[in-house]
Amino acid sequence: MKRRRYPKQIKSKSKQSMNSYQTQLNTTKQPFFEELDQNIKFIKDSFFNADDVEFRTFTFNEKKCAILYLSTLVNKEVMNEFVIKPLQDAQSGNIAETINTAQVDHSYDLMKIVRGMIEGQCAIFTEGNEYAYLVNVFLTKFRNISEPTNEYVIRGSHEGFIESLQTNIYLLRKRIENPNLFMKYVTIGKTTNTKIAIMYIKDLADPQLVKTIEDRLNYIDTDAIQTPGYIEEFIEDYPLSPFPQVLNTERPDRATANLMEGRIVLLMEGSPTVIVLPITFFSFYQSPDDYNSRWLVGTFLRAIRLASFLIAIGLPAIYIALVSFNLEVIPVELVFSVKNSLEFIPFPPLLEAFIMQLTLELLKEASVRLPSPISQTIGIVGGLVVGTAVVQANLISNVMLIVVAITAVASFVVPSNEMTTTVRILGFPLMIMASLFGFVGIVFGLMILLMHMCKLEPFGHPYFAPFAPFHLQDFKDTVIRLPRWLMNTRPLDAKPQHLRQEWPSRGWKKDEE
Amino acid sequence: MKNKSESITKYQLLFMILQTQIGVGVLGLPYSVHKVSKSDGWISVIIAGLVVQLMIFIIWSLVRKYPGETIYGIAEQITGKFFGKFIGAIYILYAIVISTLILVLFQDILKLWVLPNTPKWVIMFLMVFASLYLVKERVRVIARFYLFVTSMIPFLIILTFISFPEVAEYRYLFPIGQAGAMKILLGAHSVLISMLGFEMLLLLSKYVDASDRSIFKFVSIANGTTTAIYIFLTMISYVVFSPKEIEIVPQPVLYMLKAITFKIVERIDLLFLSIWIVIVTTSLMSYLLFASKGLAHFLKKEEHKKAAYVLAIPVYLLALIPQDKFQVEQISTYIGYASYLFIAILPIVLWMLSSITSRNSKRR
Amino acid sequence: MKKILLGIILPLLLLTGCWDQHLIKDAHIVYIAAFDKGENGNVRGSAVIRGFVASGGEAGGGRPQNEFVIAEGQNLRNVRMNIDRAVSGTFTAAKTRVFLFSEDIAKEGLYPYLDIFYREPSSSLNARLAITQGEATEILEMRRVENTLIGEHTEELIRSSEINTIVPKLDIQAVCPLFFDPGKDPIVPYIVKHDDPKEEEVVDGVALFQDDKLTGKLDVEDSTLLLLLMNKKNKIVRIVRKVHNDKELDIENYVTIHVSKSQSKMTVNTTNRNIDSVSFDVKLKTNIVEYPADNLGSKKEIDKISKKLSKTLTKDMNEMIKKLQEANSDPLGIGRELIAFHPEVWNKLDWRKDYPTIPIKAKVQVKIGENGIIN
Repeated sequence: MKRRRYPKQIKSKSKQSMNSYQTQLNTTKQPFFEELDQNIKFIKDSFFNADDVEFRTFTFNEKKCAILYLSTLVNKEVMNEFVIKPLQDAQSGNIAETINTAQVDHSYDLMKIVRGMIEGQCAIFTEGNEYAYLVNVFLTKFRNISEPTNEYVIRGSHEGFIESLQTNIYLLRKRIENPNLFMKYVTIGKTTNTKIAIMYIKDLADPQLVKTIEDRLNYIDTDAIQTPGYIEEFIEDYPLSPFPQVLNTERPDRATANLMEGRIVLLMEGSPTVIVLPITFFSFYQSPDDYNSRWLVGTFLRAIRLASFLIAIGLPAIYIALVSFNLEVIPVELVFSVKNSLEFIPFPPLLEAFIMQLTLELLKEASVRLPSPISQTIGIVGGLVVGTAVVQANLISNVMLIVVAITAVASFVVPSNEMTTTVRILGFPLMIMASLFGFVGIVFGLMILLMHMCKLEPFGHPYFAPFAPFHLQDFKDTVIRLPRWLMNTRPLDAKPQHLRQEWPSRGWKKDEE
Repeated sequence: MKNKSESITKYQLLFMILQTQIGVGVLGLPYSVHKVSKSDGWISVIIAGLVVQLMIFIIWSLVRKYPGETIYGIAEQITGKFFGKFIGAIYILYAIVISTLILVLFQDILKLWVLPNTPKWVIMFLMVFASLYLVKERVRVIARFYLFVTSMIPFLIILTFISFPEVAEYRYLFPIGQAGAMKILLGAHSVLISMLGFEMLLLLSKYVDASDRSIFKFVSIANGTTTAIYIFLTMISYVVFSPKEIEIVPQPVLYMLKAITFKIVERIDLLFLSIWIVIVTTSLMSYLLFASKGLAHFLKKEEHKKAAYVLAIPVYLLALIPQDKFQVEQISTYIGYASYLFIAILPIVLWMLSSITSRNSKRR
Repeated sequence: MKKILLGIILPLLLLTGCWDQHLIKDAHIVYIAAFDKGENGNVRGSAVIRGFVASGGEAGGGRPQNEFVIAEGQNLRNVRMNIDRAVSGTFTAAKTRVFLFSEDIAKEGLYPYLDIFYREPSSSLNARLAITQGEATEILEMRRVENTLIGEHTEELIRSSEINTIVPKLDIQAVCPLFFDPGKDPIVPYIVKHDDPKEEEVVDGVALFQDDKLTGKLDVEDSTLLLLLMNKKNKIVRIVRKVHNDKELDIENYVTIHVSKSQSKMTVNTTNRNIDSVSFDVKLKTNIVEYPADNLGSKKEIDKISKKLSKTLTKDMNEMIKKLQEANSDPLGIGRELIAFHPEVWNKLDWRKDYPTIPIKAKVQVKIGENGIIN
């Protein structure tokens, strides 16, 4: 947020110039000056004489040369070893041939030099030349590839995306070693110049979709892109819908699986989460774990997850409807124990549920951002102390506590964080409806929710597939998980260019008979 | 001719017709038929199903001649601008009145069974709001929703089936034919109002992306399914309640479920009612769509979003006019008779006119 | 536009409150209710309400407690209104498990007393019902039998009788079609309260009805036979009969059989649109569960017993049918059979007048299968 205000802090006069400088940097060209010093001065001025703009001079081919770089961005060891040392050893010759790095560019445009330096290249100027060389010597300082902490799996790859775009692309390329895996850079953010990579499989992804995405990305006209969330909000179709319309994942295997279904992956420099789109509702309920366990187990887990969706949005509402409208629905064995627990509670059930749900959200928010030893304390205070005390004090009934706890657990079953929160938030309007109209309210609430899901077509692809529109053959990998050798076709919802994905892989059965 | 993003499949057509047919009447059907044809009501249902099948054939032979048109366009093409507009207008009126009737009957039953004190403007508002929320969308989206909710109908049947009480007395159905042929035929008339909904074909034929033959086939399947479900529910009601008792039970299906207890759930009628709410909403949505497509046609617009908003208001207000249950009965009787005009007479007349004109044009 | 509309309507919905809300904690849930004739033609109703008192324990909630309420009124709704005035909160009959009616009420017709339950959507149609000898309220006044609360006890009592095929499986909905059926009559459990040797309630067979009016009763042995005749066998049917007269110890004269399978077939014989006779053919597959005389090894012995049993049971069965005819009650649905398959006969008959005179015969065939792990 602070950085966004940056141009504004430079007051009126310079605000104008700053803005123009932004566009200047990206669009205009600046030819070289005759004098080396003038060129150096221009570069230094371009960085407003920042302290990390460094240079050293040397002579090559008996001409005065200068090498400019941002000391914080370049890897000095590499620069010394492969750029400066060869140049000084050779003393004469072609600069580009002398340097021992893979990539040497040259440019006649000073602006491009500036841009290159921001990316971590060093620029070599020669007296009298109207161009300079750009050599890639950037510093790579990233954390190691590690397991994403919010998308654990039991079995399967333990690699996760990291903050480096290069590494992330590497992770995907390693998994799909095929020239068809297409990638394209887009730079978004006038100030931040954030690099975005669009990746998809050229002969699979719907060309119409690719065009839509590229158009929408090009439309983004903003100063800064900080997180993939920015992109998501700029390109999504239904800003008012509670449902996430793209899938965020930190798992390369999940991204790869989606690529292979003909979906598009957007990666962003500096972010370990990538965006997968278009997506259906059921994509949020798939986890790489499903494919690593036996298919029966996988199907069972899917069923549990989908049931968890219904529990998480419906259970508190149903409970409210039961205890405040239709107590006759509760079986007689249960009705008295429910009544007993509610007998001395001062609040109406709706308020009770709201208090408990909000307490839960508070506890969750409190513990998410705390270091783990302290968050354990929160768990104890919240779960044990508050939970027991609140029941003993007859503030909240213990049945309500059970209901809220089950709801929370059910909502955490979803293998995607955004959906988890969405699901819990969707429970609130349903609770209100239940407290107003009982079961009738719940039915209307669910019906409107269902209509909404049928309506959603993010990026022109139905969200609630394969239920609406109905494709029985796509149930094989949504509601249930059939064995891999039965998944002959890709799901239709992403409209892939060709559907077949599996050919009789168990043909050996015939051979062995 | 067929707009790709607006078209629906033949399966979606099937479920749209089915969902429109099964509606508010399903709960009271056994009772209202029993009033006329006693325990032979189920025969009346079969007869009504056959009659409806005939009407479907008439409507189908009309609409197949004009593949790119709805009834509104067809009427204009056959009878000219003025009469065509007039016929279109009364079809819109018909759809509005039926929507209102659905709303009123729905509210009545809800008030009776679950929400006795909730004011009716609230319940009706909920209903109209929910319907409007989807009706304003494209036909294809609506069809998608219909297809999804149709999966609930088997639940209804299963629910009724497993709760089939041990007290069922099959002998209540005998002797077959006790009411006499005349009474049974008259009973078929009282079934007909619960069968309404197949006239959606007049509108939907434009949007279906399928051959003429399969359109007829799938609409017939829809009608067959509806008839089968009705026969099933009627028979079950007749074996559970004694003939004298059913005369005092206006919603026998619900009443039967109410008496059943499972280990976990009691009052299964609430579960049934919950699913029924969805089914009624789809019927209401169909007629709202029928009317708003007509209005949109008059305004020369392909989009019917605004028309739906406009039409929802009179439907809501009409339904709010206070009436007691006898008046409602009266009105639904009138509508029962009036509906023949729209499902049989007008289609036949239009069909004959179109045959004459097309023969004339051929001669020329 | 849409947002404004939503902005107006949503608060409106929230503000107007919850019209039909009916909180469980305010509900006084009736477990068992009893109805008697009061003074001046009034109805006296009494009920046991399950409530709770604060216990101050660690777990929250309270201790269960039974509250006995009683009131009189012109009709049931009036009784309920009068009870409502006496208790705090609302009186809810939605979870009532058992309704008891006194014999006096049943003689005048049950339907008027049940109408209120049929009419209300929230009432529990799956409650059981029973007729009591004497005042029904007296049973509720026992409060508890041993350590069980009276409500649960009565419910359990009827349920176990159902399992033992003494009374039919029945709730208040199941009797309703029969109230209205001219060709079939209900039978309802009959409860007697004993004071000696200790205060207790006992299921003592079934009450016979003509439409909704009580006209007679059958004792436990007869009601089991009636249920077998009606094909309403439940899990357990135990029949004890005398098969010998010559044994030294009286106990050795008896055999106890368990009916594992029973099949009853009704045949109506008509000639010339007149009813000749009605015959029942009952086949019982049984096991011997008690027979102190032993020696069941030979087929002859077993045949002898089964023949003897068939004879005794046929006799008992016919005597039981006589009682039905005396009470002019038709729980077997003979009339219904006539309506369904012989409508011309039915139309000629005045059923209530002719039923007691129709010859009805039953024939029982007992087949003995196993005889336990000893012979």
